[in-house]
Formats: sequence, C-alpha cells, structure tokens
Amino acid sequence: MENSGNLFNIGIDPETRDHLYQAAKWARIIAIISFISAGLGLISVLTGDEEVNKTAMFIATLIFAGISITLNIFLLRFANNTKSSLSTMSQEHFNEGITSLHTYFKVIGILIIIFLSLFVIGILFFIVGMGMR
Amino acid sequence: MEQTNEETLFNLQLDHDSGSHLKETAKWSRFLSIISFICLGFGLVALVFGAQAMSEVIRKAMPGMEAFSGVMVGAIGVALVILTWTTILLYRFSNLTSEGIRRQDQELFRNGIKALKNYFTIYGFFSVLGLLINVGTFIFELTKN
Repeated sequence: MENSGNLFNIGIDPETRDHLYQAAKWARIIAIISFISAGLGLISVLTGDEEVNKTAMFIATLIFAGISITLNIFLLRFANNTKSSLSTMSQEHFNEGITSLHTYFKVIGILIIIFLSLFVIGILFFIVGMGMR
Repeated sequence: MEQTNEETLFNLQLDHDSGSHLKETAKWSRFLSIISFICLGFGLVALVFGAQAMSEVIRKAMPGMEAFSGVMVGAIGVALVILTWTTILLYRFSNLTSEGIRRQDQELFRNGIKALKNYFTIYGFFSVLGLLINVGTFIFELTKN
C-alpha cells in the first residue's frame, strides 16, 4: 500500500510533461533505429563477400545485435509507456515507463562494468605474459 | 505556484515507485557519464598528442587523399566535442533529477527532465544521421556486388 502512496511532492506539470513527451518521442526513434541497424549489420555480414572467419563474424554480430535489441526494448517500453501515460494520465503506465528507463541505464552500466573488467583482466594477462618471456 | 499545484493535483505524480526508480536511474546515468568523461579525456589526450601519427595513418591508409587526413582528424575532434556535450547533458540529468527529488524541488526536477530530453534529442539526431550513412553504405555495397 505504501508503494502506491504519493510520498513525493513532485508532480508532472505541463512543462515537465512536454519535456517527457519529447524525450519519449526521441527515445522511440533511437530504439527503432537500433533495431534497423542490428538487422542491417546481420544482413551485411551474411551478404558480405569476405569468406574468411564469416562464421565468427556472424556470431559476433549476432551477439552484439542481441545485446542491442534487448537493451533497446527497454528504451522502447519507456517511450511507449511514457507517451501513453501522458495522454491517458495513467500513473501505472508512467511508473512502468520510468522502471524501463531505470532498467535501460542499469543494463548499460552493468555491460560497461563487464567490458571494463574484461579489459583490465586482458591487460593483466598481457603484463604477466610479457613478464614470463 | 498555486496554479502549478492545481494543475498537477489531478495529473501524474512522482509517487514512491517512480520516485525511487528515477533516483536509481539518476545513479546509473551518473556512473555512465563519469565513465564517458574518463574515456573522452583519454580520447582528447590521444587527439592532442597523437594527431600527427593519426594523420600519418590516414595518409597511408588512403593514398592520394593527403589533404583529407587533416579533415578526418578535425572530424574526430568535432565528434569528441559532440560526445562531451551529450555526456554533460546526461550528467546534468542525473544531478538535477536526484537533487530535485531529494529536495522536493519542482524546478530542479523539471530541469533534470529537460536535460534528459536534450540528451535523447542529440542522441536521436545522430542516430538518424548514422542510419542514413549505414543505409547508404549498405546500398553501395549491394550495387557494387
């Protein structure tokens, strides 16, 4: 019950509503472009004339496309729910939109932590390898 | 001020759920913007100290296009400026939004959402530009084959 209570005194006034609407509009464009780019990436690997490491290239592109699509589904959810909440004044949709935005940034953050960790591990292996020579 | 309160009375509110999720969003976006600032710093150092070497690499990769190498280095500089601008917007979003929620300040919160809007606008504009370049390259590759 406490979760649904209005514990904050901040409301979505007309100016904030307009900013949110524009943010959601652009977020939807970004998400759709990311889906198209992921598809184009896969098609260009499949139709490319480079025979060497084609399978490896396809797998790598498939992984990146998968990550990009998963990530941008959250951005699209934010855009759709926020736009819908602004037109219907649905608090539930608004909360769902904000939750999706939270997940979107969180997933990017976690992916960056993973990539940075792998980068640091790679450098450590390189240094140890150089020291063993 | 009263008018604003009246306007928001029956409208959407930042309730417990959305408020805490937005605070978490601000935390993650602050983390992302700090990482971006660090990467941009490395990029700037590389551009300042490695511009000559970079120009040399481009010259070797594209013989006959010597005059183009300076333009390419300039384009990388412009890209760094645009990325810095978007990172500042993301940082502003995280700071203003979390401060707005903490202090229960409507104006700070509004400015935070405005920064998010500007961030998505610039990101979206360059996404459209990137897609046009990608589609152009894709069609060029198809017609070449």
